[in-house]
Amino acid sequence: MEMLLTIRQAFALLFSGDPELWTTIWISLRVSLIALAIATPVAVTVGYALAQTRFPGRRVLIVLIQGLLSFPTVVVGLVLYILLTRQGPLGSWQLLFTQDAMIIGQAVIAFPVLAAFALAAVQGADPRAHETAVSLGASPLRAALTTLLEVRFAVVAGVFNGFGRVISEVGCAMMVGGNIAGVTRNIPTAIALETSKGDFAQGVALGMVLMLFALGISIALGLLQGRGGLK
Amino acid sequence: MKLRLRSGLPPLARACLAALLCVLAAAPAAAVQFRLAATHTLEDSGLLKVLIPAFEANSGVKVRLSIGGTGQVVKLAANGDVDAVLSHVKTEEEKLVSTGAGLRRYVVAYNDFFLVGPAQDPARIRGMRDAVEAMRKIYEAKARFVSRGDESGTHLKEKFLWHSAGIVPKWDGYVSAGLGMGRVLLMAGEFRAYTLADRATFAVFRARTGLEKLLAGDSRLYNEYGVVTVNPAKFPGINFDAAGQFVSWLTSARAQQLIAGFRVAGEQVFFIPAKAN
Repeated sequence: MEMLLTIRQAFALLFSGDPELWTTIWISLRVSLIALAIATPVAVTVGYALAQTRFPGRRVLIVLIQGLLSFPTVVVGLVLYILLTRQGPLGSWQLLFTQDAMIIGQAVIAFPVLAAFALAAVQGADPRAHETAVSLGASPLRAALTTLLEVRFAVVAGVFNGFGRVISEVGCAMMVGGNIAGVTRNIPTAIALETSKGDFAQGVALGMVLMLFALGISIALGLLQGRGGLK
Repeated sequence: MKLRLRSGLPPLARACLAALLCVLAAAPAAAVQFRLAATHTLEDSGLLKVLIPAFEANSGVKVRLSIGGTGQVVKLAANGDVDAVLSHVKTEEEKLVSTGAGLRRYVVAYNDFFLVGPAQDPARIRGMRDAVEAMRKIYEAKARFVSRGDESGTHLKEKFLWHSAGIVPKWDGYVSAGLGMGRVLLMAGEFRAYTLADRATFAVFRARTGLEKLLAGDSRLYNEYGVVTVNPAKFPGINFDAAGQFVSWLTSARAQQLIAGFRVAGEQVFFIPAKAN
């Protein structure tokens, strides 16, 4: 019974046109999408390089990246806080409690996810695509892009995974963002606040709103990928 | 031809299962469990780290402590998910009792709030005695102010002061952070902003923030801590005996000594009400 009421509350919340809610949603999406936009090219490059090239320490780096997948987001937040605090080494940048700090944190959190998926994707690629491209005179960059295009679904799966990890995380966002209303309050930190106020139903409603957006993005991307996407 | 009947598990697995069942069956009866919820303020100051072990040693009752925001811990009590709740919002505590979720409220201790801020004090409130007037000066100076923004006891007190001044706090420098007291103090330190803080948490965080106590002593800044036992008639399974033991101990002379004797950076931060409950 409580659950049905909560679902109704979620929809009512979404369609109420509450400006605070939409600001919160906007902050969530803006921060996470920019973080992904920054992290993805770097991570895919690293993943590709780890899959295709051999260098000393390669195995160590792979193990490290895969280990970082389990790194608690709140610890990322703590380290970033220590760097950005007034007395810290980067204190003069005055980034603490801003969206930029949240973006940096989320990019760091997403990086290992994106890199690990890219690595697995490229490792599983059909080597003939790469060989064909090279034999046709493609530059290393062109050949790399060919390979990545071959395995784009697996790479995009990594992007989805990275997006999921950062849009829902609360430890880092709370730590470096500070949950400031209208500035650094995203949906997960807003849910934490509602919980601390004892307004559990509102917290769940916010969670459902987040789910709706995540589903929307998933559907949109699936449609964009065409028949190959939504198999 | 010999038929090998694989009846049941191989010997090693059977031995492990038997051992596990023995361990579970022989598990000692758990000590009496008492679920207590308390607000952040009491935990951040360090008082609970002194009181809880002392109570456990005295009574043999094992305390399961949940810490949360005021609304959250009051909600736990209202749902019967805890046996007693400690908070510092008298109206919420009394509401628990009036709605029947709580049985009775007892006063535990008191202290007060300060207006704290940067040493430069742009709004010039240092040494003032009227808290409401000081809030007005902060507003008029458009100085930076960090609010708890979380319907906590501190936030409610802050809202009361704004209301008394006839001000709606909304200006560029006014920040509503949905954070606990310690984190808000750290944020105010980062922003060199004013904020309202309770005596105990400020004593703990002062050195880290570089903020100073600028205004204290206004009687409207009084802050009272209360405990409410949850109503066993409304919620079966409430450990009312343990809750009763806790309240008796908490209001006893020994506990009061501990509370009044508690020091943060050499300073007393909790006080015992003069008259007995």
